[in-house]
Amino acid sequence: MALLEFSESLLFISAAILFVTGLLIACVQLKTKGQYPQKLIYLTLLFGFILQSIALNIRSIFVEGCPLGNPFEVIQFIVWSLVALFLLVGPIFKLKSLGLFTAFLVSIASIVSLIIPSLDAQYYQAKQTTHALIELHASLAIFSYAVYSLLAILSLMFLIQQYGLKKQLFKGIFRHLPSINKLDRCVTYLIWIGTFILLLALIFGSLFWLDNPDTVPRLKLISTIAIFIAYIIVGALKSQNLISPRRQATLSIVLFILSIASLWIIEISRPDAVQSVDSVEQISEE
Amino acid sequence: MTASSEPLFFVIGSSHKEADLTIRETFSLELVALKALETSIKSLEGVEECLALNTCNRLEIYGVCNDSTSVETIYQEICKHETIRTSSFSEHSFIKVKSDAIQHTLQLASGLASQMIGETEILGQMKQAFLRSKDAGNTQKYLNRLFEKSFQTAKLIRSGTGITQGQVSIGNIVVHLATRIFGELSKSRILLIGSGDVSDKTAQALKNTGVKDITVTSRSKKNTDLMSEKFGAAAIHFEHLESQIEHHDIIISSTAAPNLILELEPIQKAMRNRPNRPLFLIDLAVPRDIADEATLLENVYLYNLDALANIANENLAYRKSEMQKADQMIKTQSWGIWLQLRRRSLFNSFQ
Repeated sequence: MALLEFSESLLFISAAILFVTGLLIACVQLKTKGQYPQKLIYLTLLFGFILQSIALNIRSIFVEGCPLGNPFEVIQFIVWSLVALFLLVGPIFKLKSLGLFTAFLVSIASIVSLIIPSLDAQYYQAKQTTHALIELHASLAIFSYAVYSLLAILSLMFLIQQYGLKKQLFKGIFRHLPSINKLDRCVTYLIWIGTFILLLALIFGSLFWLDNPDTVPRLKLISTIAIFIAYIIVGALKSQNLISPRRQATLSIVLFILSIASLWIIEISRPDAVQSVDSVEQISEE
Repeated sequence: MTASSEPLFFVIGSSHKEADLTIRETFSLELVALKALETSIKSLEGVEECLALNTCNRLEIYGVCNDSTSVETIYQEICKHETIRTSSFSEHSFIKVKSDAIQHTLQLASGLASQMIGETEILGQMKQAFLRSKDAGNTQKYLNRLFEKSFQTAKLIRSGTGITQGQVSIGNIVVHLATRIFGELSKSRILLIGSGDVSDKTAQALKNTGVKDITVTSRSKKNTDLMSEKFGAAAIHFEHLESQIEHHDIIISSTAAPNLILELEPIQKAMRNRPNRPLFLIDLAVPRDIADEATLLENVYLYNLDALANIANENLAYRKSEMQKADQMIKTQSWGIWLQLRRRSLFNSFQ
């Protein structure tokens, strides 16, 4: 078990190193040669993703379920989902520099999750919450947050490109960003895709909660529904031409920050009994 | 070639650095005259190999001679040649020998000696000249080696430095900016207001990217018809200009009008009808045709001649910064070639 625990930590760290290395090399190449190393970024994210998948699998063995029990696991799961999305969506959307921005976000998130040990607080996952429906709900909800992360990345790229065009800047990163038209389209699509996945998560969650009304974490439910409605409002305003692409991008970033903050609040206010992994092991042995 | 007659590389020529356009025009040669010049220099005593290169920016004669003649003598012969107006060539020319000549050849092939630094057209022109001279038997082992190596070096410089990066012509800059706004340009609609050399080239550059939908208008009907014919474009009356703004994605204006052609209000009105679609305005006129305040509007991107020229100069500055790196690479390469050819010459003399 100790060996597994050690290899799990090592894999999380290795994945983070890969993400950061890819990001740094890409930045250096952009700065010195003015070239964007697309393949290198893709490969570092792919190998990081593989290592992170193994690490999350090991973690799921420890916690006997989907590893979403503490902020560290939530961050790692969002990072994992975001990289998975990039690996799938990247070649389809053909968005220049998306890998660079993804590497930036996942590097920051991975470093933060690894350098603050308190984020990986030990916990005991109650048997009742390991119900298949609630696990599906949690996975879908986190996946929707990954979509919103990608949405925030694309929104940031849009704002940078638009700033460069307005300020008549030609060199540097601006040359390697996709067109504002394409970014705007992708942002609009992702708002609806993320919202649809979050809707599914809410449906599966409510199926479980209907049978177990006492287990509904109210703060979590309210904040999730608020985020869900806010994204719908932004999407609807844009489709009715009531907000500009710039405002849509800005609101997408603000909502993403709020949704991550809400996850944090939920984690802080989590009523679950905090127990050590040892006690989890004892329970599993029983 | 014997040990006493060691090969001496030389380049005699004139380029945009030594002569301005009016002077360069005087020694712009037809192909027949160029061949005649090359053959007659090759026939000079002591000249082993010869290659003449003539482009719009330069006339240069590359050669290898032995100790039995001096480069100065060859230079005098070139200046006296019937195809060249000696008075202007002799006053605006240069001579480079030995490793300087090798270095110059590598610099030229790499686009470092070009008027527009980093341009690639010169490489093709050098390749053509080399093939022609080689077929005529005017180049042999030394010039063959030098030119082949210079082509390799050009590739190395282009891949190893940012010397070819960045657009220089206004047309290319506009295409690049339009791509940053719209991505795929084939579905973009262009409105061309007035005509001029730069705006024509800009419209042509956009057309070359696959833009099919071009509309033209001008203050005079005759001009509108001419432009319509030139670009195979639809024409609209100048009076309908304001109502047409919202239907176009890229508007290029280049009239000689003393006042604004597009005020802020009609642009604002057009944007209300297309809030989510960007509008790219290119003002190539002096004095300006489009209200400068339009740049403050959401989703409107206005670039005037000054802004485009600044971008062109930014790129030139970037290329120049890359020149230092390229120069160092060329020095290393030319030293290698020089040593290689020296070894070959010594080996031949022992044989």
